[in-house]
Amino acid sequence: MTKRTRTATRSFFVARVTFWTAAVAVEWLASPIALRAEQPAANAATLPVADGDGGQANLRDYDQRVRPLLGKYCFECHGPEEPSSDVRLDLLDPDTIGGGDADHWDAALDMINMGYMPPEGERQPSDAERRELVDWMTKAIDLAKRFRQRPSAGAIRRLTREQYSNSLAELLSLPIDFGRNLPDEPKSRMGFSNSSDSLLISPLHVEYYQSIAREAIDKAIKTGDRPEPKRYRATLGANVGLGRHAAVIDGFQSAPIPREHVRVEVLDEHGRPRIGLTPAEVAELREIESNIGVDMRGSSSDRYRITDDGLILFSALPHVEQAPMSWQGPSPNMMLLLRRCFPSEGPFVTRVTASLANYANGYQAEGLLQLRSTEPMTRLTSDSTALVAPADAIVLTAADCKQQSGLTLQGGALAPEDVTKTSSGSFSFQVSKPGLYQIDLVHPAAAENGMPSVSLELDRWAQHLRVEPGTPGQNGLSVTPMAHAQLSPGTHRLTVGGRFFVGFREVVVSPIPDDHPVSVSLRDERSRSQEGPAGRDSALRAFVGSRTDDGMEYAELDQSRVVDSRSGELETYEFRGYLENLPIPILDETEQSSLSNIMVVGVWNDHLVKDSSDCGVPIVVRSIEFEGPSYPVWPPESHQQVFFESPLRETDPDGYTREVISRFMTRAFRRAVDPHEVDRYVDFWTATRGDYDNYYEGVKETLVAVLCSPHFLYFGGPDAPAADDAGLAERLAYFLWNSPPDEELRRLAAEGTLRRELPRQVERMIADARIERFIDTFAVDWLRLNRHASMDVNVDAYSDYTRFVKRDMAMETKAFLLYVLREKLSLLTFIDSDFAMLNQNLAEFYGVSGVEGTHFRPVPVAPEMHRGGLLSQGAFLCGHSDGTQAHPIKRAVWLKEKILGSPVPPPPPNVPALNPETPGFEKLTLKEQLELHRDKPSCADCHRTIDPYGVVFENYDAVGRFRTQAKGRPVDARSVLPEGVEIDGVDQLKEYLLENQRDVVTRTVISHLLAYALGRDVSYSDEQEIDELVARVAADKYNLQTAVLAIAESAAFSGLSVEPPKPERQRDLP
Amino acid sequence: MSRQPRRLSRRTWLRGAGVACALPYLEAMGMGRAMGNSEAAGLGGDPTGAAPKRLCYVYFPNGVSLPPESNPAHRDWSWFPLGEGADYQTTKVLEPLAPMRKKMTVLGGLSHPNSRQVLGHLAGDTWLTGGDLRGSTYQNRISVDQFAARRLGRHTRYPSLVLSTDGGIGYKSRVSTLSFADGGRPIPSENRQRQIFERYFAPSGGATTSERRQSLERRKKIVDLVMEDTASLQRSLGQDDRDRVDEYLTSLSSVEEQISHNEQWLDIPLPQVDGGTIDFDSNPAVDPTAYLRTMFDLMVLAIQTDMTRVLTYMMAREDGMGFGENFPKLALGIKMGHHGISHDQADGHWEEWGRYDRWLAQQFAYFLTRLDQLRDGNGSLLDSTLVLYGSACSTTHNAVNYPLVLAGGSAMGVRHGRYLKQPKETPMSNLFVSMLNTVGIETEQFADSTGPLEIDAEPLF
Repeated sequence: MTKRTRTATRSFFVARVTFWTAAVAVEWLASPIALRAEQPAANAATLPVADGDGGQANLRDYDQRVRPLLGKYCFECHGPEEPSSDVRLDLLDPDTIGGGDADHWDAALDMINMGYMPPEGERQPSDAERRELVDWMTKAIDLAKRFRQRPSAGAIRRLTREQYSNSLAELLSLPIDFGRNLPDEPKSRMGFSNSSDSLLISPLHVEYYQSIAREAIDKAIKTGDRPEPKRYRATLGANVGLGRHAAVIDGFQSAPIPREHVRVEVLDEHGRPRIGLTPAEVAELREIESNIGVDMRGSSSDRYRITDDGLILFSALPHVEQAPMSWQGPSPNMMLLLRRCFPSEGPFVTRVTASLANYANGYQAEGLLQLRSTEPMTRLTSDSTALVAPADAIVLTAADCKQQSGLTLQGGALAPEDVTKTSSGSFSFQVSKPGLYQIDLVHPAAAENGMPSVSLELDRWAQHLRVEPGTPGQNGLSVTPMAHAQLSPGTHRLTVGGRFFVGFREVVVSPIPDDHPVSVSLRDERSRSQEGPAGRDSALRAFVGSRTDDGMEYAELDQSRVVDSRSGELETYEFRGYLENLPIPILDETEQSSLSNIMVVGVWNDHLVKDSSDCGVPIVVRSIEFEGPSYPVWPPESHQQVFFESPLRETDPDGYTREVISRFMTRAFRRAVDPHEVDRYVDFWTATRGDYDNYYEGVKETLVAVLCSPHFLYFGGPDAPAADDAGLAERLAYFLWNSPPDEELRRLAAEGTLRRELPRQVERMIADARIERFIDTFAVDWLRLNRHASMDVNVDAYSDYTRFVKRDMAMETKAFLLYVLREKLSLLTFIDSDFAMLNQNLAEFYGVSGVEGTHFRPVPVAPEMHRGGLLSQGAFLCGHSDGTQAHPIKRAVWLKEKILGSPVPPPPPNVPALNPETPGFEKLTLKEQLELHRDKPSCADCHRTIDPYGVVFENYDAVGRFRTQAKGRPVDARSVLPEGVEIDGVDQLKEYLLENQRDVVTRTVISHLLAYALGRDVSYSDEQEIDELVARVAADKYNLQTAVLAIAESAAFSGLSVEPPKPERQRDLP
Repeated sequence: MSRQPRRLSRRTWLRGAGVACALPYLEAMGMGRAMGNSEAAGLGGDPTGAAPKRLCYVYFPNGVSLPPESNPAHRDWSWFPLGEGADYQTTKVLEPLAPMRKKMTVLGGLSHPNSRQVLGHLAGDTWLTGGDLRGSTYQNRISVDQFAARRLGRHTRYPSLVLSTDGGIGYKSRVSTLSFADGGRPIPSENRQRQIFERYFAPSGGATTSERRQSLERRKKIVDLVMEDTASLQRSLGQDDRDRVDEYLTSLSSVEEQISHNEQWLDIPLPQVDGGTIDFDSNPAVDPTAYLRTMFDLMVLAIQTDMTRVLTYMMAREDGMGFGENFPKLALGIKMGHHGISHDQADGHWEEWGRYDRWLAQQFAYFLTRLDQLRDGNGSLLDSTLVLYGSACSTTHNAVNYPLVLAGGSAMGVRHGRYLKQPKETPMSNLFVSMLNTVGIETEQFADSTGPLEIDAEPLF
């Protein structure tokens, strides 16, 4: 092994040092010796060691020479004198074969080798003494490597939460995330959530497993009549609802579609509108219809409109991630509201009938328009008494307001008597000159916590606004622009008010001059909209959730659907799901509020745009329908799969039940079951069946018990991996699919041909959709994407960093890994690639043009894009920022640990943070701040090996966008790596890594893959295996798929030939 | 991001404590030991004679009157007292609690970090959870009372009592319960007082006993079978794997033990209680004072009989929903509802708000006084019960600086009598951690806590 690769592997165990020094690993805190006394290291077994192999000699050396040295230089801090120390070298067992401390000696050796210990300022051993220590430790670890058996793949593992959910879903043919409430799995040292050593089980798990099994079996086994589906349709269009019933659900910032434009119908199961045949039925239908409506909350009124053909939805414009708009879906979004009349479980379908819209219809030529500029056209004089408005402005004053309700005159302004109730004031006014106007409100300034709001209605348009608390002038007045309006000559009616109405002194309608930037911008938009959507398609995104008072809680439903049918050619798009997986309301019968118990089924136009002047590719929605529960067959497949057809069913009911239980056990345990195993469960059924009135209930109880069995909850054992193909099928399936083996894997295992077929099977499994489950977990654990998921980005600084950009960044990394794997690309592609996986939304965010649509695809990378590889992906860069600024240290630590396999120990306790009080600190670039850092002796030691790797990322801001300026100065991403190489920015870093660190990178990737596959962190004992894997993969152009196959075929994974060498042969050792 | 409270895992514990006996680990894992019969009889007190330790949470909505200092109403109608520390001077608002001064602490400054930016009404959903409701996903989590009930519930007939004036769960963003199970699933609250009495205290033992017994039996039978299955699996395994599966076996047996313990309760007759003096026909839509007092009476009864050691009561809902909205009209003749009052800007509005806050404090004082009148161990019931009273916003919609009163617990070493202002960045969950520790639940963390509550001067806990 070369020196370099050796270092790379060994440095994994520096992380072990983390455990020693940082107070994170509870288990080490109390007493390391106790650990050993109680539990020999979990994954090693020992072989008899002959006297001549050096073990005894090594122990003698320890007693005579090594322990005295340790006593002299180490025990003062790592011994009994310092009981608070987490590391007790005096307690480590020098017998690395019989004892279990080889790992700890390995970590200690690293500390000495790397010069961390003894620390500076303490007494240092002489060179000879140091060599003595190092030689002994090296020898001791070597012994352990040779004579302690390598951990086998036989180690039994509990199913992780995801594996448990997937297993249950596939076993029962119910795609429901049953395990969602199980506790999070802890992460191992290397970051993995599937590591057998950290997958604990507790009484809480036991209780969960039983209650989840009950819930799941209840959902799977359905006796009785097929439940009547609830099926509703809302058709949209000008005046289609005249004379009919529909709910108009008001509430904070609600924007209901008026009743006359919505036709609500209750359908029968064939989709025909139900007509009441008796007065009672008529009343029942009417009651349901009156609880169904369509709402546009969160939508700016000029991004949607009712036409004869339906409701036109502009491309959705996501809101800034700030409440309350961030809770309301993008603008526009259309929601079917179902109050109380929704089912609580089961499969359901949502059908949306839509097409692309005619652009000319889409562009709104009159009425209210969303603000394109936030500049008021009006202002107050400095003493706030007088108004300065354009000469031809129409000024409507509080005193002139003749039609009002709930308002009272206070100091010249009209304000609500009770702000929590609806109030309003209306005006009529004349327009003589057609054109563009702006409506400004002069109002008493209100504190933000008063939720100052204005609902604005102009003729048939309405808009709901949250008023920013302005800086009030002298007598507490502010001016807030509310909307633009395209007005025709004649009389117009304008109403301001709503709940939490801020009140007003004047409403000013000012003409906007033709040369004003707003006019120019709107003319532009108009001409662009008339170019038409030639060759462009759009997409519909469905979502389901609950209405809350300030917004909604929702989850996306199914995939988004491409909409490409031309205007006038309506098409129906179906979205399917299970209500159990979605955040629908829990029906509370005692709850009386008219705003409660409301389920939301909605869509938005998923061709996301980035600013309000872009209408995108408008879609017209004619109708939206909900049907649930919707069972295509009855009893459902989940039931028929358990209670299958069999000749015994009629002739021998008890024999049939045995068959049912036995088959269920075989599938649940993922292997053939012994008759006496079946006896146990059949006996249980026989003993308990009398407790139930109903045959099915008794059998269900037995099936619940099967799902609580360790044979379902664990996999990997029993110990006989080499012989057991079923075990291999299981490990393979949980490795690559996070799911149980499918029919084909089970068949091959039963035939005994799986091992031979591995290459073909691995290829098939990678091509299967379930491989995404591997990518989801592996990508998150390896690349620590959870940092990105939990990052709070400062949206004041990055207002276009929307939830959709965030989602797509995570998708980018996953799509990238998947593509590299499926296309058999080199794993060095992780360092740099000539493509990036992008969709339109993310491409636009990165400033890459020409990518259309919601799906991810490889986009060729041009140098000026500064993309390609993992190192320039948003999920990593943003996840390793502080939300406002790039964070070179986090990025460097990630790079060293995840790409270079060289983890960095955390800072020792009590290291002072950088002092932001340092004069001029704020103005320094991060690089300069870091240099300050490195001037401090307590930081310098470690940071000189960290910071250089972080500085090179300076060209990427906190949200992963490329920049050349930061804090008004050019970005300086030049760096000198610890090995003396000069690098300027990520592009050069990539070049350097590809030229000089190929093996290190390959080794790191393979080590992580292997740890994930084995369900345990790799250790020194895996070095040889990893060496072989690296060699094989390098020989095949670093093909990532080869790496996966090589791991599947490796001894450690497949369970073949894990015999260590016989110790008798090692006579040459001292 | 893991915000799970860090509880000791069994494996961790075994490693950490080595050869010590296996019983305390059950405690650390939240299982507790089955109680001896003397305690099971519901008479309170464990073999050592100490009073049981209890937790109780009482909530009111819409924040409190906090006139700015410049406003003349500040001296009389600010919810928070004037001054701080031991010499604080209460305004008219908390005056009804003056007789309890030595047994309570006013806490200022606390809030849940995740809820600071959300609309105050929404913060009601997270008062006891610290959950994160900022994004499009509603990430609520287990509430502190339910976290505690997992431990303390092992000792009593019912793990907790979840009450509200409105009943049910309400809906996300405007809940009508303070209690949430794992994963933030709301636990329906009970509000019908006669039914509560009959269910929990009537001599018949309630109608639910046979159902409960049946469900326990079913659970137990499955556990028995699975234990058998697990033991047989173990025999086929190597040592390391056997240890791993042993963990499951141990978990199964502690669940079995708990089920047996629950079954025992079913055989123990309910304590004799006299409900004769309680008015079960009070209607919150007519006489809120009577309704609230009955609820507090029921809570006292539950504590007195050791029926449960964990209680929550949501006196009213946020945002003008439910019965509580009209309490100011009914009780004090104020024209507006509570929510309207909280938004009102008219002259004299601080006084109106303050008067209502005072009325709420009066009802709470009634509860504390009742608890303090009843003996328990070496003190009163109040001395062995930690009661937290408060709201999830200060002034309307400001989900910071929660108005809080912590009362009771002198027998557990709580040192009261002060108004303690905390730095505004202090997570409310730190208080929860301290309260949990005080009632004997060893946890270093709850939700997003950063440690126990640190008081600069003399410690509170």
